Parts: sequence; structure tokens; C-alpha cells
Amino acid sequence: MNELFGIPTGALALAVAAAMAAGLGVVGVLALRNPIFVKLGLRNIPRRRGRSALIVAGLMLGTVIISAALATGDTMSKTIRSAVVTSLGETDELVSVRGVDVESVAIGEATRVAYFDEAAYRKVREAGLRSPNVDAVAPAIIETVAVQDVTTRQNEPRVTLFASDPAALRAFSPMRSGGGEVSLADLRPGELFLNEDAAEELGARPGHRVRVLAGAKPVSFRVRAVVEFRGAGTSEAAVFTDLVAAQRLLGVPGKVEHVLVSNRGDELSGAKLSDAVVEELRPVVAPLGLEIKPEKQQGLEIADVEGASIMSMFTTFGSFSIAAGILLIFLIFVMLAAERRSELGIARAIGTRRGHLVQLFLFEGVAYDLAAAIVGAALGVAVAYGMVFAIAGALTAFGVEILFAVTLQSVVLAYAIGVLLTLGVVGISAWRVSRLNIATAVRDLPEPPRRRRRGWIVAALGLAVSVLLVASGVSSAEWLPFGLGVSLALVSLASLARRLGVPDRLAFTAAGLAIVVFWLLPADAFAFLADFASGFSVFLAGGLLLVVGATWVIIYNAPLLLKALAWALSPAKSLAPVLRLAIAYPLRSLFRTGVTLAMFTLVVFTLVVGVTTAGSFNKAWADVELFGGGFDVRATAAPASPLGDVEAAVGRVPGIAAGDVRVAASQAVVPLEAKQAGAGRGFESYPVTGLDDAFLERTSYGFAAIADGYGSAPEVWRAVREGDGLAVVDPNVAPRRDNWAMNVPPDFQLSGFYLEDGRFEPVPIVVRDRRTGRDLRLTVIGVLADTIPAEMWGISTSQRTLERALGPQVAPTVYWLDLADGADAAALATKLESTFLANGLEAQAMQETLDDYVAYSRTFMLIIEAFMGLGLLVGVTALGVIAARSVVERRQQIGVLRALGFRRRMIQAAFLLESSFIALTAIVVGTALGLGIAYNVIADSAEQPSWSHLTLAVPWLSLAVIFLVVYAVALVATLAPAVRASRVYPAEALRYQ
Amino acid sequence: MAVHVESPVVARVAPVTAEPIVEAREVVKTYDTGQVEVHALRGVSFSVARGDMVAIMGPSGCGKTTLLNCLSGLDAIDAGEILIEGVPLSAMSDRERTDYRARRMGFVFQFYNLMPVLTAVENVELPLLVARVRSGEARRRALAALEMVGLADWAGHLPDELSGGQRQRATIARALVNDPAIVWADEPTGDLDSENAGEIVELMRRLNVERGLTFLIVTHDIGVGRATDRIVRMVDGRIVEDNRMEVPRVLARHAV
Repeated sequence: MNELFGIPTGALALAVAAAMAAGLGVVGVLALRNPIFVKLGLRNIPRRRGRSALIVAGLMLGTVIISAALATGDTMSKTIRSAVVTSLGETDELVSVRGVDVESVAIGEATRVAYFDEAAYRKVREAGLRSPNVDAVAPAIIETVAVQDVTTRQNEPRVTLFASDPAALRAFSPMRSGGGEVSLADLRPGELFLNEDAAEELGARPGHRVRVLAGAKPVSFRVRAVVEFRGAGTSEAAVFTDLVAAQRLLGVPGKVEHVLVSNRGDELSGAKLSDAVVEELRPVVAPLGLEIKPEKQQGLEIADVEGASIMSMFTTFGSFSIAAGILLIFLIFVMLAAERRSELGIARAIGTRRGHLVQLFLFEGVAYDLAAAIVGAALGVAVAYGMVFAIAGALTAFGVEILFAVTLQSVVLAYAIGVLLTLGVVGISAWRVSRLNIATAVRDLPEPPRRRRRGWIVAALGLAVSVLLVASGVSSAEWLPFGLGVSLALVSLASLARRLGVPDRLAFTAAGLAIVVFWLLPADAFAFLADFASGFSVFLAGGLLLVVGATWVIIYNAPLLLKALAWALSPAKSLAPVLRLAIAYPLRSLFRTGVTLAMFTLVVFTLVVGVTTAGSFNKAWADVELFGGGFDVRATAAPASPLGDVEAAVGRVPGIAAGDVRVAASQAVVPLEAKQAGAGRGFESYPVTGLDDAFLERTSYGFAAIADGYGSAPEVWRAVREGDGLAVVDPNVAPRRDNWAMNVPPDFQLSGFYLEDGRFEPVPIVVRDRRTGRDLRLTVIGVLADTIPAEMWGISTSQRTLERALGPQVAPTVYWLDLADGADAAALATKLESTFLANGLEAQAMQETLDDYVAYSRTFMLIIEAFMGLGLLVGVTALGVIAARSVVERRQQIGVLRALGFRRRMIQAAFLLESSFIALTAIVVGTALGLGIAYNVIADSAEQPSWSHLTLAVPWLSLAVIFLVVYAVALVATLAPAVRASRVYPAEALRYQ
Repeated sequence: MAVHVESPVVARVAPVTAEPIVEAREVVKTYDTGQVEVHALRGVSFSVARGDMVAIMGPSGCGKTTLLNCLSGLDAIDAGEILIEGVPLSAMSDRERTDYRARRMGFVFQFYNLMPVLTAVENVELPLLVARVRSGEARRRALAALEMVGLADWAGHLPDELSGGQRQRATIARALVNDPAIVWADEPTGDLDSENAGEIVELMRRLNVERGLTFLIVTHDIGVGRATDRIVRMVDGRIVEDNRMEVPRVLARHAV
């Protein structure tokens, strides 16, 4: 990726690396000043190698998640960049007829691009070659045609025909075949080249005869060679002829479609000169009715934005795991301190300052940190590779080839962030450790309750800040400050209550419960204060606070819970002594029990919310009626050869009975520019589609929001059909109060209402055809539902409206068929493709398209869930660290127990029961909280017209698998230390000091 | 445990030196465990003269260690005042108290509390390095301190490689390396056999007599008590007895 959070990755990596260097520099200076503490810190590392390895494993998890997210972003960016570079080669700018937007054809097949005279090309070439920034200019025709191999009888309805002037093209990317360079000039009349994709899809070899269908009459060619060429306007199948042959084939003698401009430099560096070249050539091309666009620069920018979007999706979903990882780092260092409490106490007694203790831990922490971040960054790349492998499999159905990539910047960035994150947490935990009570630490006695002289001030300050946060949240209608303010107020009140003599247990139980209840309230519970906006940051903060609140309640009431557990298990008399032990230890170390419980609960909570909401949305979305809008088959024709009257055309298809097709509708797609009238923003490229009457009459696509004056979806569609200048838009352009979307929004955006309101005043927009400079005024009266397929994205109006404004360029190229009940949509699609091969027709049953999307969506969600599940590793490590520490701490006590007659299995059972307490509590609490939040999300979404049919679907089977994994993981993590504990030889343990 | 040292001549007399190095006035210390309040010190007034070797004795839980911790500034007090070399502890910040400990105090504890990852000499030089003494000088003084306690040959060994008595000698070397005004010892022989305990008490006595080091020793061991100049007995957070020998050995020696 070239950009992350809008900052160039190079600069960001440099800044973060500089911050890391500064942090490490400070640590280095301290180390030079106090080498004795370096010695003290570092010599601890090899003392217990197994535990040191566990610490490194624990510290690296945050880095793994960041590194994996960055590498996945790099991969997506590289994949799109590679497609851009393969498709454009040396071409940096494209000169075309004004108003032609090549990039927006992804939504549907755009209407055919206009041609212009070669004389105009010559003027552009002349001007271009005068510029010191341009090294080549060539004319081109890039058109979609259908191709049939006569020998193999294989057809390919969509192949890019690329044609140019061989002499002018020579300065572009070389065309190679069989190890040597070839040229379009080598082609004899009636010959063409194929690229490898086309040869593979057609089964074609040199010497084969192929038919090119680009209109009514097929033209036969002989395949001269299979070539490699970057810059054919596609990264997929292509055929190559010289310009004259293509002009003859397409019936456009003396015309060209584009002028390709190559800037000085190679395929990537040339794009940096695009701004200058566009500036230089604009005055030349404008009078010719042409315009110049920096295609490569734009393509590369989009690649980076998409890559960053994927990266941000993974970091967002990985946030809970990162939070759990931070808790783990904290726990590890607090436990390290507990182990060395007596040493630290004596160090303080003989004059070591608190700052020195912080340094001591920092030195040790930095050593672990540097190693952990290296392992983490490398492991993250491996995790990303696994995810990319899975994504690549899921995208095969869409013909997308994923190219795995990791940039040095990303690795540096992940490493530096990992180091800084750990350094910060180690610093904070070291500061906490340094505040030990010397007298008790020396004798390794429990820390006495701390007197907080400034407790009143802190609590009062907390209340003041919370009031400000709440006020800010209400005035800006933002849930995050409001929610944080209320939570802080509850904590501050609990703190004040303690000062007033309320027992800790009561104060924190009440505060914890209040926080849990507050964050579990329905989204509209405080609608009387403001129409709050929320998003992923709210989900993240809410999740963390819910877990904190619940953990408080459990930890402050743990004695009661454990007594209840003991009572429940009391019939099993053999368990009694083991149970007593398993209960006593977690109660003695409530802090570490609480932190571990919070970590596990966080992981379970995240997984439950993710699995449940994704499952519910997927179930609601996977409805072919919603997805197809009442149609069963969608087909697209090559822009050069549309079907014309689709109803008549379908009627001519052999094997299709008259009653099979109930409705045959068509749609034109025109890449135009649009803006909201009077909103103060400029025109942005956006596709406009023209829907014919048949479509508008039949469609059942629903709406997320409907303009005032219209009562229902059919009413909106009827108005678009019958009225003039009315339109509907896809939901991506509508403003939302809640920002849950992960995809990159289009530049064209509406304003003045929120989608969630379901109602809005009709929005006037202006659509401009830059080719003619003509404006079309439309009024948006509906925003389509979130459940529509990507094929319906754009501004949709009636074909009549579009034709009246733009003329004949809006020939429909997309066709929608509603079939009679019982008709086989897949078979009919196949018949259509073979009949209309000459038109380059591609058809697919909506059910199949939906199945592909659903399969992809499920795979993607599984990957996201697996990514979130990385947090489980945090839990495993935490339990491992705690259990390992417990064995060391309790060695003497274990010796006593063994001497008293405890069998080995009883010792093991006590350890496993302890972990079970944490894991099972986390499962129960995490599931309850997760289902609570999932219910709120679903209930809130179901209030939107888009999702009115949405219901909470709890995937119990998936949850059961998660529970089993979590529990098994907890037991596995404890097993090794438990076995080690049980093998303690009593006499040796009793001597242990 | 029998400690083979010469029994001091004991008499109920006032301290012979006018200038106290540590003085406690009506010191109160209460531990609040959340369930119960433990009154560890109930208005203790007490002073230690320079060059004195004082033993604080009494049953478990009487407040001996609490008194040592409070006097040495390791723990905070709830009421009263403690003066170290005439300066109230309450007037010192945590940092000043810490620096004072590094420069002017030495500590000996029952379980040695040596840093397990540092060798004997590194442990001994630790307070000097903390007090910013140059490393060469610190090493020289640490080796001299080890020599003084008879542990020079074990300077490069880790604590795990030393016997209990050797560890406690290393602790004493660490306590005296910064030439302290006072050494605080909490059950210094509590974890040693009688032979090693005797050697440690003898060592402390020698350091007191020869170098004029002030010792305040918390102990259960009457043998240790007998080796000191003064025995203070505590019960339930109060001093109930303060017995002093007629002429402290250190003064006698220096008078000679």
C-alpha cells in the first residue's frame, strides 16, 4: 500500500520507525547511565528459558495482528495495482472523447465509447512528443468482441480487441512471443495475435483460425502467434491487430477510440509525471472535443485506497485481539514483578529509586519486545499468506487472481508499531510495579491497601470530565463521547461512594452492573436526548467497557460465585479438597484472575457478536427475490454489439418457449458526472443507468429510504416510469448517521438527510454529459436497499428520460429476464450466451450470481472470524503464563499437599479446575454479552426499511464449536504446567525457597 | 538457638550519647486490612544514639519489624514524628528518603534478599552504583567490603552458589559498603544455623566496635540481644522495657 490512514506508508513507516528509534534511544541512554540495571534486567531472561519464550509469544500477538492486516492490505493493493499495470503497460494517460469514463464500466457494460478522427490523434501526438515529459504517443482502439476458435469450437464472448499503429506502439511496452520481440507490423492481412489468457480460454494455438464477432458479420482471422503484451486495456483475454484491420472490422475507417500517452520513465514512475502532462496537453485536446485522463495514476490511487480499506477492515476486527494482547503484556509484566517482589523491595530499601525500577523492567521488556516484534511481524506475514490463500480460493468464481505481496514499509511499520505498543504497556506496568510498599515487598507479604490521598480529587475530576463528555456527545449527536462520559461518571460515582464508606464490593458491583446495563440498552434508548451516530469505534469501546463492567461484577462477587460452585459440586465428595484449592487460589489473586477473565471474555464476546450478526445478515441477504429484484437472469452484451429489442431477440432463441420468459427488460449504463444541486460540491464521475418500462414495471427491488410524497417501493418505481426526470440511487451515495460500512464510498455523495431516517425530501441532482456539455436535471426520490446487488449501483432513471437528454448513445447493453415458474434459469442463460455469441453476451442466473456472492461472503466472514480468533492465542498464552507462575509460586504448598496425601491427579485437577473456572465464566459471560449486543444490532438494523425482514439467527452450532475450542484451549494451556506441578517431589518442594 | 558471644553487662540506664541518629516521637502505625484494623505501633517514643548497637525484641506481632520499617523510612507512619540525623522524615520526599537510604543506611534481612542474577560483588556494589559512585571505585569498595566480611574469595559467585552464612555476609557487606550512618537488621540470624548465626553476630559486633557502625537489630534470638548494647522489648505495639549496658562497647573501645 502506498497510503495508510491517508498518510503515505513510506512517510508513516519512517515516522513510526523514528518514534521507535527515539523511544529505544531514550532507553539506550538510560542503559548507558545505569548499566547495573541493564545487567539486572537482562540476566533474568535466560534464568527460565521456557517462561521467557512464553513471554515473547505473549508480547508478539499484537504485532502479528497488525502485520497480518498490513500484509493483506499490501496484497490487495498489489493485486489491483498489478491489474492496472498489466492493463495499461507504459500508457499513463488516455485521451478520449470528452465525457468517456472508462473506469466506471465495472458496474455494467457501458454504452459504446465514441470514436474520433485520426487527424485529431495526429495533433495530439505532435503536441505530446514536444513535451519533455512524454516519450511516446500512439492511437488505439480497445473494444470488446466475441471470439470463436474454429478448430477447438470454443467460444469466448468477452475478449478485448486491441489495435494500434505498429510504428507508434513500438515505444510502448514490448510485445513478445517465444522469447523474441514481435510487432503488429509483422501481421499479414487476415492475421492476429492472441495473448495467453485468450489462447487458454479458446484452446487456440498459432495457425488456428478464429472468428471475431464484432457486429452482425463474423470475420475470420488466422492466429499468428501467442504474445505477451502489457497495455492492451485489460489484464484478461485479448486479441491484437493493427489499426487499419480493426477499423475495417468495426466499420470505423479513419477513426480511433483513444490516444495512448506514455510518460518518461517506466511503467510505475511515469505516472508521477501525469499531473504535468495533463496540464500540458489539456489545452491541445480540449478544442478537439477530447479530454485527457491520468488513467494509471487514478488506477494506482484506487488500488491503494482499496488496499487500505481491506487493511482497516482487518485492523478493526482485530482490535479486540489487540486489546486482549495489551492486557496480556500488562499481565505478564505484573506477574514478573510479583515473582521478583522481594528483590524489588530490597532494591528500593537500599536506595534504588522508583524510576530505577521502571528502568529495570524497561530494559528487560525491551529485550523481549525487540525479539517478539521480529517474530510477530514475520508470523503476521505468514498469517496473511494463509488468509490470502483462502480469499484467493473464494474469489476464483469472480475470475480474480490474488497476488500475495508484502512491502518492506509494512513490515517496518508493523515491527515499529509492535515495539512501541509493547514499550508503552511495559512502561505503564513498570510504573505500577514501582509503587510497591517496600516493607511488605521485602518480606514478600501481600501489598497493603493503598491510601489514595488524592482519591477525592480524582473522582471529582472524573465526574467533571464525564459531564463534559456527555455534553459534547449530546450536542454533536455522537454516541462515543456520550457513552464514554456516562461510563466514566459511573466509575467516578463508585469511587466517590467508596470515599463515603460504601464497601468496595457494593460500589464496584453497582458500577459494573450499571455499565453493563447501559451498554446493553437498545440503540434508541437515549433518542430523546439526540439522534446519536455510531460506528465501529462505538462497538469497540462498548465491547471493552461491557467486558470491564462484567469482570468487575464477577471479581468483586467471586467469593459468592465460587461458594455457589462449591455447593453445586458438593455431592462429589472426592472433588471437595481439589475444589477448595481451585477456588482459594483465584480468590487470592483477584487482579490476575480478573485480567485473564477479561481477556477470555473479550475474545468470546467478539466471536459471538461476529458470528451471530454476520450469520443473521447473510441469512437475510441470501434471498434471490431481494437480490434479483424479481428477475431470474441477467445478461450483458458487448457495447459494440447490443441486442437491440431484447424481447424480440429472446423470442428468436431456439429452445426457449414463448411462455418461458415473462418479462424481458433492458438497462443502459452511461458513465457520466453528477452532483447534488445547490449542495456546493462539484461534479464527480458516477454511472447513470436507464431502465426501460418493462424493468420499472416488474422490479421488486426495495428501498432504504423513500422521498416524501411517495408511500411505497412500487409507488416510487411507478413514478420513475411515468414521470420525467425522476431517479433512484444506490445506498452507497446516501449519508448515514452510523458508519458501519467498510467499502470505499464513491466520490459522488448526497447530503441533507440520513438514510436511517427512511424518509427524505426529494433531492435535486444534476447529471452532466461532458462530451456534449449538456446537463440533465433529475430528482432523487428513492435510495435503494442495502440488499441490492452491485449490478444495481448508480443513478437509475427511466430509459426515456435518459434518451431524451443524451440521445442515442444510451443503447441498453444489460438485460434482465423474469422467467415463468419452473423455467430453468441456468439452462436459459447458457442458451442465450450461445445464441448471442456475436454480441459478446454473457448471462447468468441470479441464483448462481447470488450463490457466488454468498460463498465469497461466507469465506470472507470465516477469515474475519479466524482473524478475530487470533485473540484466543492471547488467552492461551495468558493461562499458560499464569499456570506456569502458579507452579513456581505454589511449589512449597504443593509439596505440603503431596505430603498430606494429595495424589498427583488431584494436583492436576486443581490446576485444570482453576482454568475451567476462568474459561467457563468467560464463555457464559462473553456469550451473554455478545448475544445482547448482537440482538441490539439486529433489532436496530431491522428498523431500517432495507433490513425489515432481518431477524436474529443464533448459529448455535458455530457457537458450540467456538465454546469447545475456547474450553479446550484453556485446558491445553494449563495441562503442561499442571502435569509439571503434579510431578513435584514433596521433599524437594518443601525445601524450595 | 545458642549464640556463642560474650554476654554484655546489662543495667537500666539512660543512653550515654547525647546525639540521637534516629528519634521516634509518639509514632502510631495502624494496618487496615479491610476486615480489621491492626494497631502495630501505639505511640512509640524511642531513639538510637550514634554508635549504638540496639536489639529490639518481643513476641511475634508485637510491632518490632513495623518499628524498624517506620524508623528506616521504608513504611509510612500514621501519627507522630521520626527524625533521622535531626531531619524529620515527613519533610523528605520519597526521592529524598530513597537517596538518603542509598547514601546513609544499610539493610540486612532474614532471607538475605540478594539479587539472584548478580554475583556477590555485583550485589555489594549495587547501592554504590545507585548512589552514582564511579564503577571502578564501586568495585574497589565492594571488594573491600567483601574482604571485611571474609568473603573476598567468593566475590564472583552467584547467591545460589553461596551457603546461608555466606549469603548473609554478602548482605552485611552490601549494608556497610556505602559507609552508612546506621544499619538496620531484621532477623539477621533467623534463617541460619547456630554456627553461622554466631559468626554473623560476631561480625556485626566487630563492625560496631571497630568502625563505630550503628546497628538496630530486630531479633527473636536472645543470643543476638545479648551481643548488643541495649535491648528494647516490645509488646502489643508498645515499648515495655529498655535495658542498656553500662558502657557501650564501642565507646569503651574508642575511649581506650
